[in-house]
Amino acid sequence: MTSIKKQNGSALLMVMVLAACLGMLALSYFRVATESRHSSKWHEIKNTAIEASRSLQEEAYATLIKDLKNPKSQIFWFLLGAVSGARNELRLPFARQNLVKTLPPGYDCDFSCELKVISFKNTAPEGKSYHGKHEGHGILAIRARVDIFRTTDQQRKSISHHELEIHHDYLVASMLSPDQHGSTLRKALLIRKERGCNGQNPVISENVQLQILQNETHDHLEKPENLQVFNHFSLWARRDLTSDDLLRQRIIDTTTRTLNLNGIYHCRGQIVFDGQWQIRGQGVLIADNFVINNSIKKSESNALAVFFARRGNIRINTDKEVQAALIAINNNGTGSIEALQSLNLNGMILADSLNLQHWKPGKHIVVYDQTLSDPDKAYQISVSRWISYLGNGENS
Amino acid sequence: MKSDKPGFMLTEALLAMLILGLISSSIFFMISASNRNSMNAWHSLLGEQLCSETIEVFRSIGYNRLSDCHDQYIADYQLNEWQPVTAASKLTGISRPEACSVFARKITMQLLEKDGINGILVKVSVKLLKSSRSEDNEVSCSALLMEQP
Repeated sequence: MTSIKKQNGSALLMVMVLAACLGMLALSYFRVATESRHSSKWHEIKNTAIEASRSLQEEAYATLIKDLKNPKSQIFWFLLGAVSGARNELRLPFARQNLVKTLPPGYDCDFSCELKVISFKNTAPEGKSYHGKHEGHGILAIRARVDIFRTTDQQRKSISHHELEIHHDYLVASMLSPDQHGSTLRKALLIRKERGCNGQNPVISENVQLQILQNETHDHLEKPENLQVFNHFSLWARRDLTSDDLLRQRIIDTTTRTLNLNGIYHCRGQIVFDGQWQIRGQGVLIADNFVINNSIKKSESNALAVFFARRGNIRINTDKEVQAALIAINNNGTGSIEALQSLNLNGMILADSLNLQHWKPGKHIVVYDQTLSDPDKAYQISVSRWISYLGNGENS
Repeated sequence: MKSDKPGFMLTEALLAMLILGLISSSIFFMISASNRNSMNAWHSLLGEQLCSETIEVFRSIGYNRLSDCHDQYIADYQLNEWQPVTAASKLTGISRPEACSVFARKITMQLLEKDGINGILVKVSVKLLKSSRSEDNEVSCSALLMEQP
């Protein structure tokens, strides 16, 4: 009888054990399925956080470039005196208003963005020191951080966090190529060659009357044979541009007939200015040679333009006012300025020689522009559009 | 004599069969749900890829060209309408998995401005062409594309 009792119920027992095992399996599956749904949602929210941080970066870069064109902006002043490690919070009003529109319903976000100077050097790569007290080049980081929350979560615990850090190179350069004494463009007329090609004084001619007007008591006929300007190539914002590049990048805007200058731009070939132009910002255009056929005027009093012919001449074929500094010097000593009509220049001239025999006989006027005298008021900061480093960080 | 032979009672056997039947049906349900979840995960992944692809292409096109575009099409991306996704595009040169052809995609753009800064809100939605529960299978992604200087 004892053996019969042992046999009764054994099938049920086995099935119960099997049921328990399968029940545990089902429970595990349920948990895996739940986790899978959560991870799918997490993945979607993480992608949203990544896209949001990229949008923040784009707005930060656009704001940076826009504000650096204004020497009175907070960002300009931050970068002008910044040393390695300096940080500055960046306000992003566009993202503040619109970033929430990129989130799925039921979610909200917090974000922040800051600039950090990774490094800044005031010596050129070849070891020479820059003379301007703020001049130099460095690496600037833009750091964007996004935290996404559920709107139902009172404690606003982050369910997805993403950080994006991007580095750009940047330059701080004075547009007056300062030396140890200040602006190298501090006089109305500077001629590098002591004698003209005919052995005569280079600024005296029987037919040409060159009237130099400078408020301060400087010697007009200084002979700075060894004077070099803009020879720190590492401070040039753009190099080897073509004339098409100048148009495409709107440095020369033919629609508004404006020269948008915010740095030192080097262009291959000749630049010709036909028609009336206005200058916006402060900057230097370097090209092989220039031809100016009409007026060039500042759009505001602190605007500044320097035209530097590195291989040839600057030819001015107009009697309208030209408000710019004209430089025509090169290693061969053949750079010259030629006025084919009565010159009316508000700026200064620096040339190897003037070649007055090619000037129109009569009176020519050069009035010194005082904005060319203070290199501290002619700083421009250029941030490269190229990304030198990109770092992603995430946590959820 | 009967009690000497081991065996099951009829009630016991019926109860065991009932339990086994319940377990078997739940296993079938689990397998079915597992397959469905796998397909949903696969479709979600493809859908997210299709959304990301659009955002990347539009980001590379840039604000200026997008804001100037007044057509219904940008490259072969149709705006404001559900458009079936093709496995390959001759116009853009983009090739996608064959499984992408079961999806439709809708792209909307909205111009935005704040304090002189311009941007575009691009919203991309992707859903299965034939689905009884389309609300569960629709994947969306949005991004702000900013005007660059």
